[in-house]
Amino acid sequence: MSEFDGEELLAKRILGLLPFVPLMQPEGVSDSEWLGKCVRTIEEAVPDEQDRKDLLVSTSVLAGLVHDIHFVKTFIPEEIMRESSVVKEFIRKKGIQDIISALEVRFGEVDDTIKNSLASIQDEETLNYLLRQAVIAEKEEVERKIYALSA
Amino acid sequence: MRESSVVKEIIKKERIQDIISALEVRFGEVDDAIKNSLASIQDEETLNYLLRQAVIAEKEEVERKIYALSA
Repeated sequence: MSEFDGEELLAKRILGLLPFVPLMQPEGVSDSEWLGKCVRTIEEAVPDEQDRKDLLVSTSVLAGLVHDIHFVKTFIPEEIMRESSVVKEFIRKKGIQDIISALEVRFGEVDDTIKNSLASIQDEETLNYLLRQAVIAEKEEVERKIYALSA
Repeated sequence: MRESSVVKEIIKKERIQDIISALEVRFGEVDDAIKNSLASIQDEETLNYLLRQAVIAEKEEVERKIYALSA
């Protein structure tokens, strides 16, 4: 994408295109200078906090195509990425999968009704609690709590 | 996006936390040596395997596998 004018896109602040700008690094501009400028522009251009975090995580994903992840994280800290709605959803699904794995390894195949109930739970702390329950509680007790907390 | 290195790294850390939670709830506090060994494991399937082991295996057996698979 280096044939596009990244400076122009930054100046125009077209929000949907800003995550691509790290891939449009002009010649003679250092990696740090360019990625820093991209991040600062997003921080200044997007007033809504959630939108800003979502845009920053998209930017980090695309920047990760051309830079080492640790370098990217110096500009877009992991804490910010975790707060983006996209990453939160991945973390939630991971949590559900880990609960299902714990139940499967203890009690065998997990019913679809339990899977569907888990899938409806949005709160991360509730899923963390249910994981611990899936590790130690009896099958009926875990299932009862899953149904209750997904209601 | 799930396949991006940035997101994979975050999910990996979250799964390690789930393994630690499983060990804590079964055996109590988890040693830093175990936490550090888990943190060094990059492979997603290995972490999935260790999560299942953390749920059912004896403490010494899980720890032995964590050390072996982080080597």
